[in-house]
Amino acid sequence: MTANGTAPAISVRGLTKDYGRGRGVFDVSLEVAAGEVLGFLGPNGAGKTVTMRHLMGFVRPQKGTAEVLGYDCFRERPSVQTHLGYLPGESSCMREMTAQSFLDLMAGMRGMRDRSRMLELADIFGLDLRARIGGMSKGNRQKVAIVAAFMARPDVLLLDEPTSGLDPLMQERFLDLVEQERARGAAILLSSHIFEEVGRACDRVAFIRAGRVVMTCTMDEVRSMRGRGYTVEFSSARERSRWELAHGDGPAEGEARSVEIRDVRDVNALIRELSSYDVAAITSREQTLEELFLHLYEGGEPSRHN
Amino acid sequence: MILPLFKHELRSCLLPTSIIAAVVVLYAVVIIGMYDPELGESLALMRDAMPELFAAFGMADQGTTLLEFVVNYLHGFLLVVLPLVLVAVLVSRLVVRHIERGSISYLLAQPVSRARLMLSQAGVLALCLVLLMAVLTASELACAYAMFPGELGAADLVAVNVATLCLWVFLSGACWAGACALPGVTAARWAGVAVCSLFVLVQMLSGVGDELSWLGDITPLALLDPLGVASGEAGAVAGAVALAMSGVALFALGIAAFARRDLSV
Repeated sequence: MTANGTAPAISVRGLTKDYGRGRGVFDVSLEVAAGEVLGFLGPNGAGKTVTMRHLMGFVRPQKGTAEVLGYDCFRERPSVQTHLGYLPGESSCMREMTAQSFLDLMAGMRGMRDRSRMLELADIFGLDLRARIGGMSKGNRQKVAIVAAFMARPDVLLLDEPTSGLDPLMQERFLDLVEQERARGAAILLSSHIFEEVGRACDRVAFIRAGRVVMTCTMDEVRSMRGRGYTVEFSSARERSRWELAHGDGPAEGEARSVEIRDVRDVNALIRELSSYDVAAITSREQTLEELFLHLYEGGEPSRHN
Repeated sequence: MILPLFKHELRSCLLPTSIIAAVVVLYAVVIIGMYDPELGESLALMRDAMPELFAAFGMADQGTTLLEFVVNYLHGFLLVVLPLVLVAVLVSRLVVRHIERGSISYLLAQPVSRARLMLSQAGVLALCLVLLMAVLTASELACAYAMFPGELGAADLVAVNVATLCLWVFLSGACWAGACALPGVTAARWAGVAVCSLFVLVQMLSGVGDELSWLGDITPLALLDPLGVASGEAGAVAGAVALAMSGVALFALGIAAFARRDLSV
């Protein structure tokens, strides 16, 4: 399956591409094994798509290497593409064609004779193959792109914001499909803005910001890092204001009595502090992935780097 | 050649090719129909009255045979400009539009090399030009046979048209190289067409006066001498071969540049 037999399915080492003015990717390293899904998180312009383009062989690295199954992604593109399914971030299928003729063209170029998986996927996503792509909604165009990426049962999948435009039911079906492909042994790199999608689909997550991977960890580690969030309802708005002033916040307007306290690691300290206030109720919940990674989005230091 | 892609692209290019073919055939039929001694005299009168204008459009000499008449009125200008329009449209469809719309990412996601992909696209362009020339040649022969039997030698006309096809290969090579190599979509779409149009304009300028006649020798269009090719002149044949070879070299250059360039799609 691999050129040298031992390489991970996806391997990016020290990848650098400087587009100037801080744009591009700098010393990015990633690995994805067969049967693993790596979530690729980061704000807009962080370098997710640039990394994908290197893996697709669209652009040549300035420094470092990008390999799929041991093949160099730029120099050995046809060998890479034989094993690879790609779902671009922008839905750019040929709009003048019907879904059927577009998928037939892609299958024909791939030398793929068995179209059963194509029809099966179209059925799963409720895609009308006779419709012209140009007349489709964004979600339906995305379904065409999904079928094109998965229909050849590739060993490696690069998915760039794959659920963009899909309704919640189709998002569910897509995540089921990713799970099936992982179980089949495919290596999957999934870039996304949607934390819950990454949380559900991925084994590990890499966070990229300003072109640099600032954190890579397993989802188990993410779960252990999650603090809890608390909603504290004080007995009066005045009591709430006292709390806010004590924590350096200006008192909020209005008569609301509740405050949100995020990312609490030391519950005993919170309880001790609240004992000097008149508290009416307290509810707790697990911190969301979004809250966990928010400091990375906002430019804070990473809390963990493996 | 990638057969499924080749067939798809050929289907999408046949409409613009048919439209240009219809216009070219219409002109050819009209011009062959104008080959009439009396009308020829009135055209000669017009040409004598406006020699610079006629010369600018490559129609300086009416000639004495139907072949010379056709070459003078058709090949000097119309069979350069109209195919150039077609080449601009097809190069845009086959290369630039895929990059502009991002659909190139799907083509590049298939297990074929970039060189093979672009060779397949270039094959569509070449076939469309050959089809255009074949339709034109057949129409000219049919029209000449119907109106002036025995006046137009088929072998001579084929030689003239093959020489003209060599020029088309050169023009399309220039447009192709620009489309494949240049990073900006606008530049990729228009650079080759602009250069070819400049050649045509310079050649037109060279016809309007003796002082500017030297301009006619500085563009690659000067290598085309269809009547010389028909009469077997070695220099004319070498010129046509040089045009075709340069065109093929430009195609190869474009494909090589495309295979190496970054594509941010």
